[in-house]
Amino acid sequence: MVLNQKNAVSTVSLQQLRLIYGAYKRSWPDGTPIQLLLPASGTPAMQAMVSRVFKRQSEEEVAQYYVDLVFQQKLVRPPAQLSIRESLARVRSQPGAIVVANEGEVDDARGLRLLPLEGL
Amino acid sequence: MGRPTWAALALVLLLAPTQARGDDAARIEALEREVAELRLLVKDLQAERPPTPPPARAPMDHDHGPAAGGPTSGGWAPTLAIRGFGNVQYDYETNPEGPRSGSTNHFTNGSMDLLITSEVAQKVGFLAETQFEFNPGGETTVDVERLLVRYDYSDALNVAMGRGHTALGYWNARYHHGVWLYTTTDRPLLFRFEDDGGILPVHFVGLELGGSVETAPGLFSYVFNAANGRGQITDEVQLVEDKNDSKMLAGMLRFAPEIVPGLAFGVNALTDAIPSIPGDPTRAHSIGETIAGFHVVYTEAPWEVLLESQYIRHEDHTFHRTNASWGGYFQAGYRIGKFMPYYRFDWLGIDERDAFFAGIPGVEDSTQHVFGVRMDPWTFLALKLEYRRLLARSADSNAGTAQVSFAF
Repeated sequence: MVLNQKNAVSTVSLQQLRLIYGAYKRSWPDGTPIQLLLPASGTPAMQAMVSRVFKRQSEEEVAQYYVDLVFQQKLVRPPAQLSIRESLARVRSQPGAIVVANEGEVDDARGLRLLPLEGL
Repeated sequence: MGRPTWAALALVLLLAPTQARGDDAARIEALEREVAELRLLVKDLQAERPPTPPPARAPMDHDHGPAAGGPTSGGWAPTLAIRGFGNVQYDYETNPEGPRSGSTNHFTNGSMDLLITSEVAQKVGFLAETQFEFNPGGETTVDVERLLVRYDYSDALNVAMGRGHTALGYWNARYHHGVWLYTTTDRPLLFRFEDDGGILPVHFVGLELGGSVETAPGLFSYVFNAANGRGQITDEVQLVEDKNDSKMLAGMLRFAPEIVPGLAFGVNALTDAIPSIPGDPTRAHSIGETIAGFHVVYTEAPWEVLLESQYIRHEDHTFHRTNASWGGYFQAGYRIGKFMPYYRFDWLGIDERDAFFAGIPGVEDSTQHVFGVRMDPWTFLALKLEYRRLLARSADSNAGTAQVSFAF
């Protein structure tokens, strides 16, 4: 899991990640709004998110799920789905951003906080 | 230049390409990172330039930035997102004179629902849902079904004001006018809209407090409403006035245990004073209304299991009596790839003496079996085939619906 270096969070459990990506938890403990980012379509990280975080069978169901959340006014729009390079750049520039990446995808950790996530 | 100097120069020339290759690789990597960051910056700047051509995007965006043009305040530009839902269908009815029909077999230009959401400022959101309805007489009506401004103070507290969904159980909070979102083709009998024979005040105009608190055993959520109450009849949502000073108060609590993801329990309660109708001897005085309900849902894929019930108690101050009605539904579906077969059982138990429900078509003791299958051939388009067997006090009927619903 990749956070901005300024984010003071030191651990995030799988359950907390579900709450974050389900828009139940929309701000970090210091009040910074959480900005959700999703791994690029078809990547191992996105597939892991689909099955372990969203507990869905396909990316299509995740897309449907986010339309549902927008309808419930939990989100203004679905999270951006970016390449790993774009995601890391976004996380570096935005203190509240979060993205899930596979180990080895982050070749430059400058400006980032990398947290292991058990069970994903 | 002596021999050692020449030797040193030769060594430098020999090693230089290797060193340069290493420098180039580092520079290329740095440049790639810089390009990625600049691309994001350009996207953000482009998003601020009005008007931008409509993106041909799926509802799950691949990228976005602060949209909408015009002046910004403190570096903040409101973001705007527009989505919509629509449905068309064919309805078959064996008993056109049945309590919920009144029509022969027909194609239906279902509805079109426009949903506008915006981030007006940081932590301040806006939502407007406008419904275009096509009525039997051929006319089209436009209804603003929801219009809410919401401030998110924290996860535990958000405050909204406007017109929205009353805190009345699971279905009313989860679903509304976007038929594509439903597993079934239509709402449960209990949660029909006020203008469609509904017996519950599913809309409110007023204030809403809500939030969720994460605890070790699970997630607690709550919603409270303080709003204009019911009007004189079930179909009257008091948008710009309230016929009495008392306000409707409603609240709902829900708990989702961490140990069973997808499971949630909830309870809700509502109290209101329904105004009298001057000149109507059966409604000479107000009616005190109390609604209490519960829901249990399990929505972990591939299952969808919903059980919900609401009890409605009316304290009739004209006849000095209490009337009690209730209703509910049980719905279960199981997703198999792109298919989800489902079943729902609806029930309504209406107190016939209740002056507030008197004369409303379809509001009578009823049970209904619903069998169907939802197919999702594309991500944002669903096909549903459904059969319904309605057993009502006045008449029974069999009905079928083939529906195409979509999000755009």
